Amino acid sequence: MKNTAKKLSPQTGDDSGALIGVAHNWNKRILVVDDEPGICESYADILAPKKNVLPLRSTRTLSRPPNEADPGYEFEVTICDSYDTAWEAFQKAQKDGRPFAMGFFDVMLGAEKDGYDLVKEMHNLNPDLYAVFVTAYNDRTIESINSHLGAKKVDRWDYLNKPFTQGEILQKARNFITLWNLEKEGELKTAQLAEAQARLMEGERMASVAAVARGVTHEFGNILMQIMGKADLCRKKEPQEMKAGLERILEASQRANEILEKFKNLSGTGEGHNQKDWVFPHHVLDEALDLLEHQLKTANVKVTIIKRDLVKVRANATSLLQVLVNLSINAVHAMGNSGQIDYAIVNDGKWVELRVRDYGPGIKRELLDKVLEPFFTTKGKKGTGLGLSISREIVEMEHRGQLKVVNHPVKGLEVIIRIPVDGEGQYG
Amino acid sequence: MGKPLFDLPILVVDDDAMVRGVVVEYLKDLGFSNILEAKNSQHGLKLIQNSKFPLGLVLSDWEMPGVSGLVLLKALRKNPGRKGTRFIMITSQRSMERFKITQAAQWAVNAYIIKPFTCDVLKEKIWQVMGWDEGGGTQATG
Repeated sequence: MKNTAKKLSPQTGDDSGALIGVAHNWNKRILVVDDEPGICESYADILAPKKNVLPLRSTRTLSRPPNEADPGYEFEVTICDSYDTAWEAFQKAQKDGRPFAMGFFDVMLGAEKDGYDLVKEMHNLNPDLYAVFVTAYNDRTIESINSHLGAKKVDRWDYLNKPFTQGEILQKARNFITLWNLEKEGELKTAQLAEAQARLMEGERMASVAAVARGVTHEFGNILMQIMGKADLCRKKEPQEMKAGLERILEASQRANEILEKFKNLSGTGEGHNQKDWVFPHHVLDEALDLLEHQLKTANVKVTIIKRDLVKVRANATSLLQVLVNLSINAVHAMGNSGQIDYAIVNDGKWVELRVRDYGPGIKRELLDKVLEPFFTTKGKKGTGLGLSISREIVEMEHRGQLKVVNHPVKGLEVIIRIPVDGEGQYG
Repeated sequence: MGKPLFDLPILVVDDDAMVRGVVVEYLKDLGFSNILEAKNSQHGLKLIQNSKFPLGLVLSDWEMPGVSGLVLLKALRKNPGRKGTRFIMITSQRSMERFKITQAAQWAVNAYIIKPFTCDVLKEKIWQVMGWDEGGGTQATG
């Protein structure tokens, strides 16, 4: 299918295999199989009429030039006069990546196998092929054809009686060619949508990474200052001072490495960041707070952990980390300059509850539902509007939990997350 | 241009004790003897506002909680008793936002220095800002 699509505008740059921006080129290939030369001529006249008549050969491919009567339908017709030549042409089309969208199949082909057998074999390689059986005899019932081709193919074939009219052939051709292409376009659009969604999620993750990155940059600046400073100062000193300086350098390097590891976890370049494992939420919280230390300090936000149960839960640590970072950044933004965030980790039997509460203005009652929707943001241009909805997706889809947003009775907004300990759980 | 003044009163402000320690040691190594340390920006602010303590140079981190380096710079410039005091801003952001840069320029910051930096780099900045000739440098250590 890939080969029927042509890149119109490479909006996505150099992503190989990226679907977005790809358009679908209509496939108008029709296969005709009939062992009577006269009938073949009829098909040619109807589907691909030309001023000059080509000499009869066993297989020929013709094009029908567009005319004013019906513009836009230029079929590419391949006419075969036997089972074997038809099968050959079909296989070649598959191999070339230019499969037939549909075919007109004479039932009686003068061999042991008939048109139904031919189509059945073709469906093994090209299950989407539309077939019109053309027959002079009513030798098979609809039901027997269905059982021959398989129930799943029931909407992939039709039949016509000989002698057929021009209109019948033309309409069947138009209908099935359109069906084939719309189906492929639909598949393409579904794939594009999935890809767009994946990119959005990735973009949002990158946004939280970017938010943390400034803090990491600052930390690194300080740590490197220690390392560089000690090295610069102590190299001219006595061995004793040198030794002490080197110790400090080693400590600082280790601290830098820890921060780098945590940052890698968040940005998903750590190891195995897409799997579930037994995780301690309080570890993930510690990691999130570590990553956000700079942000929290600069915004003068106090952190309180009101409950810190030690409980294991089946979860994706990287995703949970992203959620906590996300919610914390939202909380900081809600409070502007200075404030407090309360965190709670509560062991609730089969569930674990995580709560993040800020002391900001909260959210208007009417908007509490909207706030979980993608693209809704109260931050104007600053917010992507995806943080909460992606956090919800992580909690509800990936972890089969629940995410609720409520106004705290005293002050502020509270996000309450419940995750099943065993990773299974039921909604509600 | 003039000769370096090693008894120039220098104020170092950084809430990170390690970094502050390194800067102070650098200054000592360069031969300065009159170094004041502010362990947080509030403390630094008080020292800047109170003209009783003479100050020739302020070395301050930009990103500090509460009172940022920019606030200290403004306070310095607004204080009539601190005319002529130079200000070097220490920052870790290589690409500082346009807004920050214009703000600091507006308040006449004398120079930036980007973490991490060696002693030589610090010396270069200070000498440049104070308009000193070469001379002086790291004191011989025993």
